[in-house]
Parts: sequence; C-alpha cells; structure tokens
Amino acid sequence: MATVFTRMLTAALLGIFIENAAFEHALGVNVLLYTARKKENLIGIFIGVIYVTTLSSMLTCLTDRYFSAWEYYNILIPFIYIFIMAAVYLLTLLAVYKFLPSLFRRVKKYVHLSVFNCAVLGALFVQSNIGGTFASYVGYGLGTGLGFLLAGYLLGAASSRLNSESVPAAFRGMPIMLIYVGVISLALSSFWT
Amino acid sequence: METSSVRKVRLSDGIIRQNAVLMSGLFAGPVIGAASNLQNAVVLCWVFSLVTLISICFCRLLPKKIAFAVRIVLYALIAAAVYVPVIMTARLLFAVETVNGIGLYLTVTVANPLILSKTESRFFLRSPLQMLKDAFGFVLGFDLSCLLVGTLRDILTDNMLWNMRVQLPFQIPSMGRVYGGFILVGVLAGLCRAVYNRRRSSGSEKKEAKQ
Repeated sequence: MATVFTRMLTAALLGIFIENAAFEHALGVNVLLYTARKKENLIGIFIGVIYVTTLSSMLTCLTDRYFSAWEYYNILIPFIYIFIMAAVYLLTLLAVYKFLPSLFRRVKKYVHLSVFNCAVLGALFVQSNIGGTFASYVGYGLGTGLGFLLAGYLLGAASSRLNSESVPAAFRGMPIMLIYVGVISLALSSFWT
Repeated sequence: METSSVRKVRLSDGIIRQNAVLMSGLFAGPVIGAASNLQNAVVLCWVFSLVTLISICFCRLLPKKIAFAVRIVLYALIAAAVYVPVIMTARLLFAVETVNGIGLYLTVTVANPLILSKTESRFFLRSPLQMLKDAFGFVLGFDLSCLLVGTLRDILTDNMLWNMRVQLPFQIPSMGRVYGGFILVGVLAGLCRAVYNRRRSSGSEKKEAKQ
C-alpha cells in the first residue's frame, strides 16, 4: 500500500513541477489566457481539467497496457484518447444534467474548454511515453491537473499588473503574459536541471 | 444561422488581425513547444494545415440539430480520424526522427481551437465557400507565424537555417528551449500588435482627413 502511495505521489509531483503541462510543454496556453481574462470561470475550468485528466489517465492506462504492442497503436493514439475523453465528458455531463441541473446550466457554456484542450490530451500522451503502473498513471493525471491549476493561479494573480498602465499598450494582455509564463518556465527548469 | 449580416470575409482577418499565434494566442502552445527549428516548424505546419482544413470541411456536414455537447465530441473525433492519414503523409515526406521528435505537438493539433471553437463561433456562420476562404486565412496566418518563429529560433539557437550555416556574431542556445519560445513569441506578438495598431490609427487618420 505504501509503495502504491509513493508511486502515486512521485508521479503527481512530476506532473505538477517537472513535467508541468503549461510551463514545461507549453500546452493549454489558450485555456490559461482565457481564464486570466474571465476569472469567474477559473475554478470551474480547473476542477474540470483535474477531473478529466485523472479519470482519463485511469482508462488510458488500460488501453496502453493491452493495445500498445499493436503496430498501429501510435498512429491511432489521438483517436483512442479523444474517444476516452469524450466518454468521460459525456457521461459526466449526463450525470450533472440529471442530478445537478443548476450546476449544468452554469457550466455548460465553458465545460468543453476544460475537456478538449491541448493540456489534457498532451498530458495523456506524455504519460503514455513515460509508462508506469496504474498508480503512477493516476498520480500523473492528478498532478497534471494540479500543475495546470498552479499555472492558472500564477497567471491569474499577476494578470492585473500585467494589464496595468505601466506595461506598453501593445504588450498588454497576451504578449506580456507569454513573456511572464516564459520567465516562470525558465525559473522552474533551471531549478530542476 | 447563415446570415447576410455577417461581415464580408477577408483573408487578412486570419492572417493578421486575428492571427492564431501572434494576435490572439489561440494556438500558440505548439509553436512555442515544437517550432524550435525550421524543420520542426514545416512539419507542424503541414500536419496542422491539413488536419484543420479537412476537419472543418467534414464537421460542416454534421446536422445542426445535434446538441452542442455532442457536436464538440464529434468534431474532436473527426479531427482525430483525419489525423491518421495526415501523419502517414508526414512520415513519408519528412524525416521520421523529426516527426517523432515533435509527436506530442502533432497529436494535440486534433484538439485545436480552430476546429473546436471557431467552427461554431465563426466559420459555420458563413456560406461554404466563404467558410473555406476564412479558414484558409486562419491556417495561413498560423503557418506564417510558425515558420517565422521556427526560422528565428533555428538561426538564434545554432546559427543554422535548415542545416545551412548562418554567420552571426552571437548564439542564444536557450531559444531552443520552451521558455525561450514563450519569450520570443511574446516579444513578436507585442511587436506585431504595435505595428498593426500604428497602421490602423494612421489609416483612420487618413480617412478622417479625406472626409
């Protein structure tokens, strides 16, 4: 039990800090920019990302284990992973629609953003390349979601300063945010190397 | 929803005004992560262009009465199906090591916002021909920015351009890393906006002077 927990924790830390989807792989940049603009949706979107990466990781672990020897598996990976993400998305949406209709009305406009984005698909693909046990898949899925939340929080916390008058008008918004994410990415990568 | 009130399509919209990398940052991630040299940039452009244009055409055929939540899923599945022959052509045309080296970023082209968001909010509001022209503009805008970033990073990182030596008195190896990509794309985006805003304001001044 302790070994399983250690593996899960190690994989989660890997997903949060070393293989952070946003800072290390530049995945889900458009979602980060969207949440920095529309902060009212921030929590909902990131809970969605954490939920989908964790649950989809469990399922991709099974497909990786049983089908990875197949000759065409690498080419079909996007289709298989999108299918898994779609199943998680539709089943969850159906459950929310049935049991929590008020929540459904609130999240239906942006929930697809937290499921079908580069960060989720990319994280599943990175985990597939790393491989590992079921526990490490779950840990990495959870860690990726939390790492993405960390990136969103850091960007959201600085967004008012990044959009202030002290920044040249042409650089306000997206350009300065990319430079800011670049600086954090530089700091993180120099910390680990 | 095909209304005549929708503004006339201009190629420059996707190439300049709403460029998916340098103006809106809609799909900047793969350019930052993958376009660390010109070869990578060309492969990314090939896969992105084909996957996006073909998927948008197929997605257009879906009936509009399907619920939005299901339609989004079908768009993603169509893009993932289109990706299979496209990646096979990429493996035939380009070095397999290059294609495999940026495999992660080629895979995520199936979840690109031009297919999953712009289709609903922009492309499908137009007639099929106008839609194609508009989508082509966006794809061309992405390709041009991707090639620009790939070229600059290739030169700055190794003083090379497609394996040819380019003599420069300095080298910036960190431009080949992800953080280098973030900073370069951010600076280029700021410069593009500055040039665009200046041209727009000088254009409106000329109009006012004429009136």
